[in-house]
Amino acid sequence: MFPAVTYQVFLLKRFKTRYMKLSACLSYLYKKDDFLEKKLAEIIGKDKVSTDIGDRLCFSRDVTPLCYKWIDLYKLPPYTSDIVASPETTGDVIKIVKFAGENNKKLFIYGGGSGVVGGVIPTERGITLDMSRMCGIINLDEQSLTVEVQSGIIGQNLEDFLNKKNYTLRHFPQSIRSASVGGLIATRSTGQFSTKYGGIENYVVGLEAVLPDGSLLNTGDKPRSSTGPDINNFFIGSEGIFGVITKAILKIYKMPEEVKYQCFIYRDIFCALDSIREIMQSGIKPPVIRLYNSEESRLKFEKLGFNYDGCLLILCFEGKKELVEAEASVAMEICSKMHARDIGGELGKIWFENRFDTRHILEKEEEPGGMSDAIELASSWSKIKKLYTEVEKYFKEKNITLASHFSHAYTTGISVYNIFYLNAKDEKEAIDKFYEVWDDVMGIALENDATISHHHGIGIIKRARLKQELGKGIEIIKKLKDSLDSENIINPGKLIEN
Amino acid sequence: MDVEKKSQRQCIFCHNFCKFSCAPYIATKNQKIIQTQKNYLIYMAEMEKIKANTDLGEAVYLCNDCRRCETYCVFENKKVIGNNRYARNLIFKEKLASDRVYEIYDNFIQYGNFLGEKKEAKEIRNSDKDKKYDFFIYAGEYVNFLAPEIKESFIKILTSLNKNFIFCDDEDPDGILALDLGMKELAQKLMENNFKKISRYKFDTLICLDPYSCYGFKNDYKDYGYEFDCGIIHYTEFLENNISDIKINKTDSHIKYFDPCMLSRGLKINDSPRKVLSFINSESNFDLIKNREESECCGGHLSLIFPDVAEAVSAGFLKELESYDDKTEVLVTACPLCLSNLSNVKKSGRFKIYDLAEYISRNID
Repeated sequence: MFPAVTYQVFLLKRFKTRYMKLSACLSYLYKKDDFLEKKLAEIIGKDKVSTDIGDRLCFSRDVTPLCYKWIDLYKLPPYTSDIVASPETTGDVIKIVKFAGENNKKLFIYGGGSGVVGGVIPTERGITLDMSRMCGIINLDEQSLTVEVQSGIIGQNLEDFLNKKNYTLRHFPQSIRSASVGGLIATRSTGQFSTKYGGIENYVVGLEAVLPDGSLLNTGDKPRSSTGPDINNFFIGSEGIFGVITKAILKIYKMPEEVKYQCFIYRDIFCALDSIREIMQSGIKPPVIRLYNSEESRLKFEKLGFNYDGCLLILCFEGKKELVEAEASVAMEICSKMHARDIGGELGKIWFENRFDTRHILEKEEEPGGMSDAIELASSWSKIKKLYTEVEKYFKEKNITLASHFSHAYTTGISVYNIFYLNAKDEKEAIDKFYEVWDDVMGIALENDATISHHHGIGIIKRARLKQELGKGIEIIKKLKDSLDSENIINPGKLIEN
Repeated sequence: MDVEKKSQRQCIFCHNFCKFSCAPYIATKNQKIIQTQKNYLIYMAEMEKIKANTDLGEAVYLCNDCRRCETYCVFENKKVIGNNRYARNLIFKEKLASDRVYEIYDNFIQYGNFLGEKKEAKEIRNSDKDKKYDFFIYAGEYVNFLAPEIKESFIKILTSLNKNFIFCDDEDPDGILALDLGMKELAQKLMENNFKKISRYKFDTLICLDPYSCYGFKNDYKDYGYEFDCGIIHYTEFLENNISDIKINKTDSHIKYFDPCMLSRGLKINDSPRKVLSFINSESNFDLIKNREESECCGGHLSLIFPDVAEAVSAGFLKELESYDDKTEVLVTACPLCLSNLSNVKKSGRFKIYDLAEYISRNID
C-alpha cells in the first residue's frame, strides 16, 4: 500500500552486512581501544570507565523488539561501544563531552535502557555514556512542590522516595520501573495518568544540560517566562542530540486524597470515543482514560476475570473528595447518555494493579518467528475514527493480530495504541515483516495527519518517516543540531538520519 | 525446556521492570547484575559468542538472592534463585568467581563451615538419640556464626515455656549457602550429611531459626531426595502459637518490622511475626512502607563475599528510613542475616535493631 522507504537502509544494508561478518565482529569486540581507556581513565577516574565486553554489550541494547530478535538470530548487537563511561557528576559529563569532541569520538547516551525504538543502540563505534550513577535527589522544595534530581535516577526510585514523604510524581509511564528521568525527558514521554497531569513536558520546570561543546546550560526553576522560546523544550524530546541532560527540576504533587475508578462497556468503539471527547471537552479531567477495543479487552482482561463482550472504558478520578465525586458524576451522565453499561470500578483497580503486565508482548518476542510491538499514533478528534478504521483494516488484510486501545486524551484529540503480533517462518522474515508493518502504518498515519509517535520517540526505528511528519521542521532540527554539534558527536543517527 | 533454561529465557526476553528494585544494582550501578543483562550474558557465553570472564563472575555473585525482582516480574517468574544457582555453577566451575567464593568453598571442605572456624566433632549422647522430643531446633550457619544471640534467646524462650526440645551442639551446615553459591556437588554432600545427622534424632517438629534453612529443608532438600518425616516450621510460627503462654513485659517503644526476604517472599510468613509483636507492643501497625512481598533488602549473603556492597545496601536502607521516619525507635527482624547486616552498619542512626526472638526474650518477665 505504502512502499517501503529509505529507512530500510539502516537494517537491510548496514546492519545486516555487519551481522553476516560475525567473526569479524567478534574480533573487533575483543580488540581494546587502549587510547580511549587510558585517556578517559585519566580524566574521570579508572573506576568510572569500563571496556569489559559484558558492559559494552549490556549498554548496546534496549528493549526494542529488534534487540530480542538479534539474540536468537545474529547473537550480537550491530554496533557495540568501545568503552562505557559512567560519570557521577555534571563535571564528569563535561569532561567526557569535551574529550569526545576533541578526539572526534561518538558519544551515545544511555539512561535506563527502557526505550523501544533503539534510542540507546549505538549506530557506530564510540563511547557509551552511562548515566546510572547520576541518580541523586538534590532538593525537595516542599513550598514550590518541585524536586530537583540528577537525570540518571530511575523513575520508580524517585516515586518511592516521594511517596515516603507523602508526595507523588504522577508521571507513570509503563517503563517507570526501569526508565531514567533523563530518558523520559529526552523521549518526551507520557504516563498512564497523563490526561490530568500531562506528559513529561508539563513536569519539567527546569533542567541542566551539557551542550556538545562542553558548556553548561541551566534553565532555573521559574514557573513560566516570556523570554523567547522555551529552552527546556529544545531538550524535551531531543533524544539527546542537543546535549546531555544532567539534572531536572520536576513538578510534584501531594498524594491524592481520594481515588475512584469507573468502568463502562460499550458495544460500539466509536460511541465510546464520542464519550471520551465529550468528557474531555466538558471541562473535567480524569487522570486515566483508557478505552480498549474488544480484541484487547479480551486479550488483556480475560485472564483477570473479565467476561464482558464489548469495548472496555476505564476512567479514574482523583484529588479532593468533593471534586472526585463531582467529576465522576459528570462522566457518568455522559457515558449513560451514550448507552454505556456501568460495571463499577473494580476492573479499574485490577487494571491499576496489573498495569505493568507486558507479558503478552514479550511472549510473542520470545516465540520463534514471532514479533510484537506497539505503534502509538495520535490524531485530532475529527480524524481519529478514520485513522483507527484504516489501521484496523490494514492489519486485517495482512492477517496480523491487532489489539488496540485509546489513552492519553486531550480536548483536541487522542492517542491510539496499536499492539500487533505477527508470525513469520523465521527470525529473518519476522524482522522484514516488522519493518514493513512499521513503514505501512506510519504511512497510514501520515496520510491521516496523525503523528507517527505519541510518546515512544523516534530513535532509529521511525526516523526515515520523520521528515514527512515535520516537513520544514526537520530542517530546523538539523540546523540546530549543526549549530550545536557540527561534528555530530552526541547521539549520531538518533532522531534524524545522518 | 528445563526449568532453568525457561526461566533464563524469560529474564532475557523482558522489559526489565525489576531493575528499580535491585538493591545491589542501586548500590553499585553494575548493569550486569540485573537479571535481564546477567542472563543475556550467561546465554551469550554458553552460545560461545562471548567469553565469560571474572567481571561477569563478579556480577553473577553480586545478587543477594533477595528475590525482590520476582515481586515485579511480568512473567511471575519465581525461579530467580534457580537462575542464579545455574549461572553461579557455570562461573564457579570455570574458576571465574571471586577469591572469596573459593575461600568459602575451602572452608567448607576443610572446616565444615563457611567461616573456616575450627570445631570439634561431638558424638551424639545415647540419651539424646533414644529420647523422643517435641521439637528439634536447627539454628543454621548464619545463626551459629553471625547471630548466636538468636539461638540463646530462643532457648531461653523454650525453657521458660518448659518445652521438650533438643538442639545439636555440633550442627552440620545445611548446604543451602553452598547451593546458593553454585557449589552444587558440595551442597549435595552437605545436605546428605545434615539430613542423616538430623534424622538420627526422634522428634515431631523441626524448628528452624534461620529462614534460609527452613526454605531449604522444605524445598531444596526435597528436590535432592531428602524429605524430612516431620513438621518443619520457622521459629516465628512457633512463637505465634505460644506467645500467649509467655510471661512477658509489654513495651511501648515505637517498633517497625523489617520483613526478611526469605521469610516474606520465600516462605510467605508475614503474619506470624506481626502477631507476636502485637502481643508485646501496642503499636497498631508494624509495617515499613515497603513491606511483605515488597520488602527492602538488607544485603543478604553479600556480606560474606562483598561486605562493602552489603553495607552500602543496609546503610542505604537505614539512612532513607531515618530521613522520613522520625518516630521509629526499634527495628525488629527475624533473620540472622538481616540482624547481622543491619547491626553492622557503622552509623545505624537512632535505631535499635533486634531479632524477634531476642526482643521477646529480653522482655520475658
